[in-house]
Amino acid sequence: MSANIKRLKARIKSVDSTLHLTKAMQLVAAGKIRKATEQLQNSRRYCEAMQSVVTSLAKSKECADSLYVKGPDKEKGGKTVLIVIAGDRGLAGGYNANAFRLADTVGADEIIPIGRRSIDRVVNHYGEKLSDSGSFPTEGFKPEDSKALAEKLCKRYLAGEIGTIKIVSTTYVSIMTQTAVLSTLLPLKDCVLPESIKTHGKKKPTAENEENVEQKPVGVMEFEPGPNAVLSVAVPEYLSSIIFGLVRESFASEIAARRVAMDAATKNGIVMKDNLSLEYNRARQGAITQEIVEIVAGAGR
Amino acid sequence: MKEFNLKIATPAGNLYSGEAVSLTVRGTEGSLGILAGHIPFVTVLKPAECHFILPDNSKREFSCGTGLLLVEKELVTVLSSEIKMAE
Repeated sequence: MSANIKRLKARIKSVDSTLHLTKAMQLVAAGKIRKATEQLQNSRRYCEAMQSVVTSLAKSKECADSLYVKGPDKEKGGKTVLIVIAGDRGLAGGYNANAFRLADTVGADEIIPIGRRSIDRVVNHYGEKLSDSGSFPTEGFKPEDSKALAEKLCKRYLAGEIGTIKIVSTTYVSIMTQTAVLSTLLPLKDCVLPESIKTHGKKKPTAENEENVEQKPVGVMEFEPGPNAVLSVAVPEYLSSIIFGLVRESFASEIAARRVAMDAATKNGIVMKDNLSLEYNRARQGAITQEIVEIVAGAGR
Repeated sequence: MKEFNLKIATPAGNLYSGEAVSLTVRGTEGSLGILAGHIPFVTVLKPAECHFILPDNSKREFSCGTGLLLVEKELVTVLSSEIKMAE
């Protein structure tokens, strides 16, 4: 009997210490959510403006022949580079796993990981595909990092070394829902971006404003010194803003996923601790009762 | 003087968003000033010290890296990942 009590006591202690951990992580995540969503909004605004310039440029006739728009020749090929954004830490529900599962479906020649988990994963699973363009943590990801990365990628893209740039990120739908998405950044003719950035960008102009933008032939918007010159400066900035925006968005998703996961874990832990305490108290009371019975039985002899 | 809406945007957020009467930046073809009612256009910005004038005639300076200037009918946007406002 006493062995059982000892075992229960140890279990309770271990569940209790896990509870401390999940509770702390939940609190930290809850505290970071506000800041993360704020930063997400800020970077979205920049993304939108950048996107409106680049999409109107990509549609213009003068730019149709640009390498950025049409992509490299089919025969030449060029590598497919995949950027995988995941978290710096685990314990965020299915957040990291979902992003990795999606990344596995893409046949990439080279992978650039963002987030420590992502770096570990790429090193362990796709060691030979790890890009030398660098790898970064998510939380401290700065605009300068994304700029440097974007410039490096653009240079290699223009040299014909890279054919397609894709990115796996997580869209922040709400605190409860985050979905992993795959987007294509370059070439611009195949450009597919997550709905969150796109709808956000389109919604912003008012109804009549939007019509103006849609119907106005692109020629009305003047580009100085010329569309191609603007495009060549705009694309690296655009790439950098999108990468940065998606990192911020994924980070907000990570924090939200962690908060929800840790909330559930804390609740489960409390239930588990209650059940174990009940069992422990019963066993302890049983042991006491038995001792009394033994004493009474001995006294009566 | 007529005013226009000016937005100075970086990936980390808007450094300024509000009204201004003029904006001076350095484009690839040289310095240029923007006043209200400018035709819509887009140009490439070169790193330089720039400034804008607020409706109360005070001058705000900022340094800008490579970026874009986007002039729309109602809104002028300076886009660059390297912008620092003067104190």
